[in-house]
Amino acid sequence: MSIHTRRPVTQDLMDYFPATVELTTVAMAFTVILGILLGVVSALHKDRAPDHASRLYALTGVAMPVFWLGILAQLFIGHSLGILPISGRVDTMVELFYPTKRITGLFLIDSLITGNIPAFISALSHILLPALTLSFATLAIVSRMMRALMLEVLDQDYIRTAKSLGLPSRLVVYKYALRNAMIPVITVIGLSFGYSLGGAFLVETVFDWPGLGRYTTDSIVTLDYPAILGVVVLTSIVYVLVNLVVDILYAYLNPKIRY
Amino acid sequence: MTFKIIKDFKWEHQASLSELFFILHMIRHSPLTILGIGVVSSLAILAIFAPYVIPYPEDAYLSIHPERKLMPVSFEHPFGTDDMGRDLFSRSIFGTRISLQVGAIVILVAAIVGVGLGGVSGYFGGIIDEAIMRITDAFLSIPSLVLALAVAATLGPGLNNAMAAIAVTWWPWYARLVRAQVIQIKQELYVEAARAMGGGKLYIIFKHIMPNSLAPIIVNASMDVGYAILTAAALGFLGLGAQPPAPEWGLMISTGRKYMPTRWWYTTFPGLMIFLSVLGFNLLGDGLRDLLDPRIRRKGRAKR
Repeated sequence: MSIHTRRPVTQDLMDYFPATVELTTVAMAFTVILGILLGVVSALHKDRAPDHASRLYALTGVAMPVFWLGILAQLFIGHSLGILPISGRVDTMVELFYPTKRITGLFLIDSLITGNIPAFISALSHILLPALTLSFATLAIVSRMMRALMLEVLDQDYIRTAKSLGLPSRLVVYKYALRNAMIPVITVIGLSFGYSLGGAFLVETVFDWPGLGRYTTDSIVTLDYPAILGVVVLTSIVYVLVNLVVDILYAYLNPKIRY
Repeated sequence: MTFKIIKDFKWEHQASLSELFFILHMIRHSPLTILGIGVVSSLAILAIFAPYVIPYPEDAYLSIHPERKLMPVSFEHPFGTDDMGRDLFSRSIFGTRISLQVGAIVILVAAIVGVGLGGVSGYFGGIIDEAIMRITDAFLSIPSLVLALAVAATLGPGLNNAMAAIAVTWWPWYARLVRAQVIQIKQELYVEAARAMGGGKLYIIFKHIMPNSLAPIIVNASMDVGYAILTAAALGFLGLGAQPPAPEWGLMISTGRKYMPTRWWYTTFPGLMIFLSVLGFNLLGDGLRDLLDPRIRRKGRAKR
């Protein structure tokens, strides 16, 4: 039983957890896609402007306090430019006129399944800023790692062979090099998922995102220990499961590893 | 006469002198390391002399000046003033003191506990190793910020509790690092030689294994001070770290958030201080790693 909501903790968690899942998943998607892209680009342009820029970003990315970054993003992108909404999951007006039927609790998926386009657009625009904020640091780590691995792979004999056979460089880079360079990155992605879960607690507080993080901060204020325990158990289960999946994926992609 | 002394000194300490020159050479050719050293040392100086250098020393803790409430950036108040009229520049500088202390103490505690347990685990192996490693696994299975949050929430809000919470989440990393180092060094020839010559366990541990496993610990510790500062600020931001009226950066951001977006200076400058200190320790750690990693060293020598 939670002390401040007076409901079973399990039920509370089921209400709040999907929002966190949605946020971290989108953030991880940004991390993986943009991180790999950035890493490849800076490896291909080693020691030139794109590489220096991504190096600068990698240095600053991990040093930025994520909650401060979120506030700055709200200030510049949300408020001054007025491009993206800065808090909540959907507009109140949209919620009023186009209510989303709750199926999975993930607004993006629910609204798509039910064909509720205005709600989908609203949910998408609301998730962009928090997810980008959350992925800022992990993106820096992944891109740096990707760059190092890509450089290592591009130096290998089989890449030279592929090049000397006259294969187009685009094919060599994206098919042969990228696939081999990506394998170790998967481990880092598993670890950065844990970071994102922790970071989500801060980002949710900043962006008023109704997920586990906000539930926890509310619980902390009211010294609601059952709720806090529930959150810790749930996040560690998720974290361990994700890392298990990562390990399995790793073994699947790299036949050299057998347990 | 003096010349002879210098010459003698040079002769006696040739090895360590060339080492020193090599280190200086490496540092000189790495602008980022210089930047890191510069940032960290200036933050340390600011932390030590904070009460003497800040323009409004009385504003560091509780003081109220309703007449200059929430003033924007100006010459008298380079970072503006907060909701109680306190000078944010003074408070941000004073926050260095709190944050550096937090970072240093947390990492010191975590490193001591980690080195102790990791060393024991690696050296003795067997069931002790198994037991200690499973405990670290348990700690590492929870995302570190979540664990710190839970521990801090259980202990109750406060700076000391937050420090304890962060140290609790940090020591397993050191235990693992040290264990791996010790296991590797245990098998080196010189350790075997020392054992063959009848060296006792304590002698081998403190004279041979510890000094040789220290380098990666120092590198990690110098980087982690920054991350510990970051975590402490995050806890402060959530209301679990330092309590008002302490001039802690995370706490200042959290109170300043209520005055967004018009009073942008309230959150911007404390955040900038966090960013700077984390960046500084990061660069310092990177530089130290390049210095202490023998593989990179050899490359550096060859280039020279």
